[in-house]
Amino acid sequence: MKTDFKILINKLTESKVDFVLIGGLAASAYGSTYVTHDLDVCAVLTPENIEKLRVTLEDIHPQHRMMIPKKSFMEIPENLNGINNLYLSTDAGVLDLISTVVGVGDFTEVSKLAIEVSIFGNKCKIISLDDLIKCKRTLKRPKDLLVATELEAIRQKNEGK
Amino acid sequence: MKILSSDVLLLSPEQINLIELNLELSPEERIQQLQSAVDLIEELRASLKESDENRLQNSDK
Repeated sequence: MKTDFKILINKLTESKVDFVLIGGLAASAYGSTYVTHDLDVCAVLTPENIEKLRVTLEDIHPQHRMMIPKKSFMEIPENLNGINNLYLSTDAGVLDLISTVVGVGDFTEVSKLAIEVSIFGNKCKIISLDDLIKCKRTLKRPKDLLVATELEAIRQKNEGK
Repeated sequence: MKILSSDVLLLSPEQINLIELNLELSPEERIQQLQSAVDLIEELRASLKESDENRLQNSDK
């Protein structure tokens, strides 16, 4: 697998499914030194949006990475109602789609403070620093707490400017 | 979540950790993955900086 986040961002934009970039890569964008290997986004996972994702992701062969053995996202799930999260591996890298950000809320809540950015020529949104810290503090996993501490220090430094 | 959450719940914490570590990648693939992450982070940082500068300019007006 040759990871290319540019392809994943382009595919998400092409799908016309609104998304907010969250997770470790968002933390790195704010200055965290902990680099993760997956692209995490918050989106509304309606059946219509899942169909759109299937159409645009098809050629990079999305699979459910949390299933052993892995199963194709193109076939599973058959019933598209009530899907909250999708943990996918693709030819272009790992892509996690989350409908609710712990400690913050659903896509609408995350969008409220999200900042519009331009990535590889695509307009999209990134979770705000405050919401990202809230999420990391609420998750409470050791790695998230380390990132939260780092992000809080960065926020404090920014506020002192 | 329906099918997917039940499948995740069938995995042990150790299995989830192994999946999250993405150990199926070779060292070369992991380095390439890091490079791609850095490319994305650079794009994001540049855009955030621009957004911050615009916000400051607007607040000065």
